[in-house]
Amino acid sequence: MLLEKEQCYHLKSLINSAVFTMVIMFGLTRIALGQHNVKISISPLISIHTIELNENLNTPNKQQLTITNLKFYISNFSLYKNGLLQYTWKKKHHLIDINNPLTTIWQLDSIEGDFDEIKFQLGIDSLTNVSGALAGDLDPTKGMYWTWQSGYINFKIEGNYLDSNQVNDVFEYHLGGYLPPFQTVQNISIPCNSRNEIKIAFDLDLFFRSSETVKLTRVMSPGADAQALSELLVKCFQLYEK
Amino acid sequence: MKNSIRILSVLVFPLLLIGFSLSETDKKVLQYPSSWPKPHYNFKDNPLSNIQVELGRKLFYDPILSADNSISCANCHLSFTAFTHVDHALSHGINDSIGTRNSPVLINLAWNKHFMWDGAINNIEVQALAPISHPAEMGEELNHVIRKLQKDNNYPHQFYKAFGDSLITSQRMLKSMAQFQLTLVSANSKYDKVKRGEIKFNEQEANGYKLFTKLCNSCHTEPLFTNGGFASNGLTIDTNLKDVGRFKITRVNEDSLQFKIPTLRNIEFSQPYMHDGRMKSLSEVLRHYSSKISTSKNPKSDIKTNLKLTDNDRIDLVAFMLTLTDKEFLFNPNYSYPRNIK
Repeated sequence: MLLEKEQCYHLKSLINSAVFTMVIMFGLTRIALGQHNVKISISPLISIHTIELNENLNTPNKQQLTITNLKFYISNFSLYKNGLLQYTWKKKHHLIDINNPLTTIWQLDSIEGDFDEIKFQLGIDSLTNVSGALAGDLDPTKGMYWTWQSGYINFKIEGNYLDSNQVNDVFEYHLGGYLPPFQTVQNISIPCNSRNEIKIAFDLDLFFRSSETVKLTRVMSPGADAQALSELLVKCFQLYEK
Repeated sequence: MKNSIRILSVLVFPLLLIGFSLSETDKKVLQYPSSWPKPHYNFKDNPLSNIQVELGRKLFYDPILSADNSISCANCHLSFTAFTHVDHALSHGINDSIGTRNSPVLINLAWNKHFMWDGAINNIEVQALAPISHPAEMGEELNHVIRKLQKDNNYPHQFYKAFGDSLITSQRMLKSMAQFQLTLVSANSKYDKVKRGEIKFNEQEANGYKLFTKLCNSCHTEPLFTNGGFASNGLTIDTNLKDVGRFKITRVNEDSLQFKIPTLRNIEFSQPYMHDGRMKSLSEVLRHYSSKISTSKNPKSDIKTNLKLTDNDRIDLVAFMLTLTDKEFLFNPNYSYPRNIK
C-alpha cells in the first residue's frame, strides 16, 4: 500500500515538472523566435470626432448629422514586409458593427518578426459572393446580404442630416456588387512600422464631403454609383495619429 | 484501470462502427444520365444526405416561412405541374399581392448557373432569401423565420436529426432547402426514352424533333433544353410591368430585355409561358416565333426574323414538345407534400 502511494506521488511530481518545463520552453521559444501579439483597432471618425451611433456629429463643412447604422467588412487582414506577405489574420472575413464596439478591436497572435505595411480589403471578394449560404460574420441574418440579388453589402451607413436644407434628410448607402464592371471591393494598403498596437483611423469626412455623396443621398444596389462611392472610402483609412 | 479500459473499448468500438455505417447509408448521390454534363453545383460544400433533403422538403412545404404563415414555396411551385404556378401569369403572395413575373419551373437546378428570370441569384442556396423577403411574396424577415423555427415544437428535433445538434441557423435552413430542390431531376420523359433506344417517336414527333434541332436547339440546347444563358426572343416590353430583365442586375446595356432561357422540359404542364406569363398555349408561343418577331418593337432581340414554319410544322413542334413530359417527375412521391415527416 505504502509503495503504491509513493509511486503515485512520484508520478504526480514528474508530471508537474514536465508541464512546468514545457511552459518555460514554450515561452523561451517564443521570445527566441521574436513572437509577439499585435492589437489592432479601427476607429470610425468624422474628422476628429469618433463616430457614435445616434449622436449629433459635426462635419468640417459645418453640417450636422446623425449616424444610425454603420457596418462594414474587413477581409484578409495581413502584414507585409518589403512587399512580401508575413502574416494573415486567421479570420478571413470580419464584420465591424459600430453597434457592437468590440468588433472594432482584435488581436493578431504569435506574429514573428517585423513588418512595414498593412493590407486588407474593404468588403467581400467575388468568390465568396458566389459561394452560397455562409455562416458566422457572413450569415445573411447580419443584414449585410441582399436578398433580392445575390451579393454582400461591403459597407453600410445610414443616418440623417439635422440642419437640413435637404429635402430628403435621410441618407442610406448600401455599397456592394461583385459583377464586372461594377466591382466594389476595395484594396487598402497602409504603411506602418512594427509595433504592438496598431490604431487605424477610418475618417469618413472625405466621404461625406464629396460631391457624389452630396448629390446622391441613397445608393442601395450595385452599379456605377456604388462603385464611385466605394472608391472614395479607400482614402479614408490611415494610421490614427492624435 | 487496464480492465476498465478494455471493457470500455469493447463497448465503444462497435458503436463507432454503427455510427459510421449509419452516416454512410444516409448519403445520397444525385442520379442522372451518364450522357449528361456534370452538374454546375458544388456538392462538396453541401453533400446530399437523405435526412437533410427531407428537412429541406419539409421547409419547402411550410408556410412558416411567410409573415402571416399562409404562403409556402409550394404555393407558387406545385410539384404536379413541374413546380410552377400553373394557370397564373403572375403569382400572388401574402395579402393577395401580385408579383411582376411568372413562376419558373424547378427542374434540373443542379445544372443552373443562374436563378430567377434575370439571373439575380447566383447560387441555389441563397435563392430562398428572395421570395422570403419580397413584400409581395412571403413578406417575412430572415431573422423572424429563424426565430419561428427555433420556437417550433418540431423543428429543433428535425435539425438535430439532420445535423447532429438542434442549432438552427440560416445556413443550415438554406442548405437543406437547396438539397431538396437539387434532387428535382427530370430525365425520364418520352424524349429521354427515345434517346436511350427504348421506344421511338411517332411521325409527327420525329418531324417536330428535326425542326427543333434546326431552329430551337441553339438556345434550348439538349439534354437540359436550355443552354443556361440569357437571350431576348423578340418580346416587346410590357408597358405596365416595364421589366428590363437582366439589365436590372448587371446595369450593362447589352443585357436590356434579356431573360434567362428556361428549360422546355415538362412544358406541357407549365403554362402560361414567358417571363410574365403572357402566352397561354404552346400554339401561341409558336405563332409568336413564326409571325411576330419581324414586327416586334424590340431592337435587342437575338432572333431577327420570323422562323419559317408552316401550320403542320407548328403542330409537329408541339407534338415534339409534349414528349418532354416526364410523368415520373411530376408524380414522384418524394417531391410532393411530406405527409410522413415526424
